[in-house]
Amino acid sequence: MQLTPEINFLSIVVVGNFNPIIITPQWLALKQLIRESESEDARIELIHPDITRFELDWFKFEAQHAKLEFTCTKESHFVSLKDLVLSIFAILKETPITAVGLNHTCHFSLRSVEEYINFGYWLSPVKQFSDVLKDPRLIQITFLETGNPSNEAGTLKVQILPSDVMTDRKSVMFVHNLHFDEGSLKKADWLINLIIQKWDESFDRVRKFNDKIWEIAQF
Amino acid sequence: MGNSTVLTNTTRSSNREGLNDSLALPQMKQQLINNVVARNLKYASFYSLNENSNSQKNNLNLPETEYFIHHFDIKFLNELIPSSRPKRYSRKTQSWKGIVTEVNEDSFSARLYDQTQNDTYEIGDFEIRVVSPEDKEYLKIGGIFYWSVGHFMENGTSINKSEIRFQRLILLTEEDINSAINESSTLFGQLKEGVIE
Repeated sequence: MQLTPEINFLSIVVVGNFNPIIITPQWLALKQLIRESESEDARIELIHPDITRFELDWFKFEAQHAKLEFTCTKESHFVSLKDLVLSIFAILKETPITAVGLNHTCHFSLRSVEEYINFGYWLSPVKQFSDVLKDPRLIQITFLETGNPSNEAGTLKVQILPSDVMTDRKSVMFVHNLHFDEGSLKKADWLINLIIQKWDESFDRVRKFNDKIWEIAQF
Repeated sequence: MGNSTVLTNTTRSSNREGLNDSLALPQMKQQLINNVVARNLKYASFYSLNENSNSQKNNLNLPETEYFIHHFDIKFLNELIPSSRPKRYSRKTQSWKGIVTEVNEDSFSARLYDQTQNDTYEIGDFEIRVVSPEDKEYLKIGGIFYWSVGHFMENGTSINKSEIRFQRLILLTEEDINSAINESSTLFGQLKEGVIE
């Protein structure tokens, strides 16, 4: 059975050394990276030297000293999120960066609760613990790629767990984390080139994994 | 609390006992920040206790994590905020990348590339009034925009909408351009006249 995602989210995580207070809605508008009205309507949760967190209509942003995270819950705006991240780091070009993650979350709806439970049984043989656990079920499972020949290709980690958006008890989400880490300090141009080069590929890898699971899954 | 966020802390690390001053406090501070992030708190305020209680607590020689809890009055407000489940997201949208080919008084034309099949394109005509006033400066021949049509969920309500958003992309800053001009001028200045044989 082939399933296509009902909902897709994307987040770009940048690991390095940052000043959380720099990136604010006002700064983004000043640099013309977002509309002035978007800056005015931004929902600011925290702006503090240690952590900044705000949300616009089409993306959420969180900054700490060691990590920046941009999350987009509107598939229609994924490319705009990419443009935003590229532009920010074209401006902050001296920023030290150590790793980047392109994270895709895909939400799928199964046809029934029974299929949902059976999908968990197919993913993991939890039933073998029936004599020590009453009606054991799978809550989440993580697959980690360990055999990549080079860091350049990135490492894929996939978690499968109940959907936190479609809470109908028959939906699952696949959280794909494609992690790039060359093990040394880089500047922003590394990140820019990496995102430009790996953007389409990250979508392809996610689609291939999803297709494979639904092609072979048995309910 | 209104809509404002209070996140303040006043630390008195010099009064502490049994702690590595250079490491412990930043670590504890980071723990608190992680706590705020993990709980998706909207508001958090941290502030130190008064001098008397601070001194009393110091004598307890508490482990590091407990130290912070005992030495700072930590108030997590709105702790019962629902999880970070997004309230706005799109479902089943179709998106195109458009390149403006013609701009008229009330309309413009563009080549439209399906975001999932980039190899073919269609020609589309749009009314200028559908462009956000703040994006109009980008509406010119060669300008790039993203057009999406589909279902959007906003605070539990499903909305069908079409949206045009012009690309705002900076890959070269003014500094980069000036640096390139300077470099090319330097290289040009180093050229010497000669005859190619």
